[in-house]
Amino acid sequence: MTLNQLFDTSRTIILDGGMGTMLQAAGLPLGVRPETLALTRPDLLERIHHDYAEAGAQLLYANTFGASEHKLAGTGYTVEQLVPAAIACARRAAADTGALVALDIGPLGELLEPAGTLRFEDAYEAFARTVRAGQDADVIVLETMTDLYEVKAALLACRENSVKPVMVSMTFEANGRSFTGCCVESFAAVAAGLGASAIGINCSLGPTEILPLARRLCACVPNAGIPVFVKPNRGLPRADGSGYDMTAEQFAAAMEPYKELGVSMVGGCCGTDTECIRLLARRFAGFVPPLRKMESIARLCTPVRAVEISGPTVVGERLNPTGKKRFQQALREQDMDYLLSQAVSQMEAGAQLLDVNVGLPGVDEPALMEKTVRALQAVVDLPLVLDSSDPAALERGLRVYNGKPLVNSVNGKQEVLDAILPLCKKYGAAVIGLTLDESGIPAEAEARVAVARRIRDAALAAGIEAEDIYIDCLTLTASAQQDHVMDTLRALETCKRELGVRTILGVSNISFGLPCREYLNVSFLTLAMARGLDLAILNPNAEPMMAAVASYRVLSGIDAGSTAYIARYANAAPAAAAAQPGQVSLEQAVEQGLKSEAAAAARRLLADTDPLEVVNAHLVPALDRVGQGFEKGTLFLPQLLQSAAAAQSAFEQVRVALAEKGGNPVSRGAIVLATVQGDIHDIGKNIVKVLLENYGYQVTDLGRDVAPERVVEAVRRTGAPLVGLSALMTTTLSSMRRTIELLRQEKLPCKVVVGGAVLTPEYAAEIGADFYARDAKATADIANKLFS
Amino acid sequence: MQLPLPAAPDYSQALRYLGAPEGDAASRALLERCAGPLWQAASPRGTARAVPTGQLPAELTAGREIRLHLGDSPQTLLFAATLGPGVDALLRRLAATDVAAAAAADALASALVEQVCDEYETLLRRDWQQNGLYLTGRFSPGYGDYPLAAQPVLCRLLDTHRAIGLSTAPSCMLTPCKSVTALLGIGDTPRRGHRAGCATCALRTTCAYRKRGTFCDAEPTV
Repeated sequence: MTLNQLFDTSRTIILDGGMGTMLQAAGLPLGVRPETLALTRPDLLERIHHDYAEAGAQLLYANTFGASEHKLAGTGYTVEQLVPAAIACARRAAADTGALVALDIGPLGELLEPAGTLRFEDAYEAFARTVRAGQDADVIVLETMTDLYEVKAALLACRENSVKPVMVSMTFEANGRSFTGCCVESFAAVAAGLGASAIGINCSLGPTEILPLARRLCACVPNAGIPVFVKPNRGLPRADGSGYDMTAEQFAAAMEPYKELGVSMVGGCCGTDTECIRLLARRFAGFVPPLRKMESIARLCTPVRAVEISGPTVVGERLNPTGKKRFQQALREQDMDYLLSQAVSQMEAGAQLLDVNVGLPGVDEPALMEKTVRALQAVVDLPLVLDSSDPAALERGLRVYNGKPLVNSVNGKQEVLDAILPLCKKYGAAVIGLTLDESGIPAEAEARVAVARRIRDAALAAGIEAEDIYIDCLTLTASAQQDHVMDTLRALETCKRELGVRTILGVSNISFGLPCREYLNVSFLTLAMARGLDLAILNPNAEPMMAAVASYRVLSGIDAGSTAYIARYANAAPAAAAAQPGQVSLEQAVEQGLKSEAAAAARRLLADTDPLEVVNAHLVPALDRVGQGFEKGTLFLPQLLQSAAAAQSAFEQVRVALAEKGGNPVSRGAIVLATVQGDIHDIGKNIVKVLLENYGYQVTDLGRDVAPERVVEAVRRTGAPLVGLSALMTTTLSSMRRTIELLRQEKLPCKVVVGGAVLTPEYAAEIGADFYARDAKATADIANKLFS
Repeated sequence: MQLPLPAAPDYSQALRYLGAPEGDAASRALLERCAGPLWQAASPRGTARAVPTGQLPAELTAGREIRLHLGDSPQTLLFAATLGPGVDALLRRLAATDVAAAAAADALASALVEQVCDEYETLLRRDWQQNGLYLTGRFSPGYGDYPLAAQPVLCRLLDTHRAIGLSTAPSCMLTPCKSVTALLGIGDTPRRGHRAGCATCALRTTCAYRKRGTFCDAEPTV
């Protein structure tokens, strides 16, 4: 058996069956870590591998599933001791039949950020260590994965620390999603993009339940050269816990339908044994799998959302500082909350992808791109379009991105193609090519198509699939270059027809410098859609634009039965006048917790009142009254929070007004907040933050699971006289103590206020905090006293 | 295994968690607004396995109160349930956009995971009773003097990462957050188990219930 034969899709390869099953049959006691057997019972492992090879298995998974530093902690063994020993067992067992041996890598057993506390980089390092210890294997298998982000960390670790081919399989439930919500299509897109040599499904379900999922996988794994494999369980577990519900014969028979799918590797997972594999090998002996029935659909994805690019698709354009002072201010202050609110509002308005541009003179764009991508993917599940001309910023974003993104952009300049296309290939991203080059934007359509052709050829040569190439023929401004508006549309049509690429346009540029821009935008968008525009970059909060897209999808038959259109507009009267919120005063709106009324009232006030006056004379007194009610027990936390949220929306208007004037942001003082290391419960900290911001403090929110060093760094950077630390668990109180100790050790002159469910005033004093706050209101009172 | 979502939200419990036990109309409306998205986001799963009490690793029987709880039960049922990562994602999204809704959804999710556990426990109790065996109530790491360090051990024995997608972080915290692990004693006679009292509770000095002279597990007053 050679590696070429293993990955040859014109033959069926037999994989092995469950290891745990065989170990349990051999009497492995409760709680023993199976990986330690490589040193304590190598004879047992060798016998099991040997039996599988004899039964017909052509690839043996070494007993290294849990041999990561995370899972071996506390066993007294290291990765470097166990992994080579386990591979050696399989290697000896394979001697007679010439079977190949795989380094088998399972999940680390901890959830990655943002769901858990394990950092992507730490997961990468843990996998890299196992990979480096397993160089004696022929191939690497990543299996039973449930988290696409972990798959990405592991695949990068394999590709950057080994030259061995990598097979990767995830485990799904019957609904076609993993526990973390990843769908089959997103898995295929990301695994193929990151260079997996074979893609499969294992565990969780039996052959019958996996079959429809395998059919989907066979259809969506791009590139016919990538084998698809399955290793199902032996049916479903019996309710009484006594094993699985299929006989070996039934298992093998249930694998028969996989033949017609074009699956080229088959084996078994939990519950399967040598008998299952023997019967499977007999059934598939000499069988030549047919070609997979592949669909040619372009997809961009996050784990939970695989967006098919078929018909006009909306790319939200609002995450971009160009011409937006408030956005620029947010970037300079690294105010992720503002970016997140912009992202969520675009998502709610119907954007299907979000363009992200954080380039601004004076900011560290690569660092900010990474930070923004991490923040966005924790909160919105739309695929991102990473928009930058800086290859370093793109790489930082691509590396931590969880899914298959689109890169915006390359153009016809050779140095740009050389710098960016390899990044797209390495990280499995699709790419946008702008039809301009060293000599600028060609005026005529034919010349733009020529640039597009050059970009396409370069992308194909770099190994990027044709369906991952998007060409932007560039919208020229009608007021300045009226003669060439139609050239853009003609070029778009030709590119689509002749180059086999997809197309994208930033629509709003058409109307620059003309009144009533939306009229032109909608018309141009409609013309472009009719000529085959795939991605429309626009402001999804501009309803006429969204209506044009929704209408086009009905008229072109894409929105079958007008279902999506009806869902969007059934309850909306066209062009209805916006409901006039009653003229509620800002104070009333805050006290009653009315968000949109508070914003409207603030806008009215700001027309003729100084922004600071709005805060000090209107917002703060209203908040004080609500706070007093809360303290007296006449109103409760929900009302306090709704008032805070209303005040927040009013405050946002103040910020906008100040940013437009170019004035300094409101600040009664700087405060640093963090949920301490190891803890990810941050609802309390978030409430505190909103209250403090309402009172006009400049809050630096470090988020959750924050290392002491980061708190120190932030206090030093901002000069904050007050630090707020929160912890919910008894096990993380020690992190709080360490954080305070480090602040004191570094001689930072700040006061520290602590809070959280398990804290007491006594414990707060013991760990050296200056203040204990029993709730958010108390924290605001402490700040108000300290800063008065 | 997949567990059913309860038919209706437990608003009274959520109001208590939210610190508004008297349940004014605005608080209730806020919770009602969160129920739909929460029910959409939740994907409850549970797993349980009986183990002879004598074979439990020492970390699982650390503390006086868990030993009192299990008493002479010859077997122990290891129990875990989670609402899944979709709920955490929803809470993150709300936290970024609407702090009032985030707090309300958090409280409602805490109430929901309790409901899910209660229904799952009822199911398990019925199954065991058919074999003439009885269960105590649930006793979780973090109650009384039972350390959170039991949590990772329990998760490993139940293989919760593989079975229901539940893991522990190095701080012993469960991820996804809205999850529960517990131990239940099993025996051939009806058994009550032991309730953790205030004496060993981490919150005993600051507890608002205690100051009012009531208990945290007293019935809601709404």
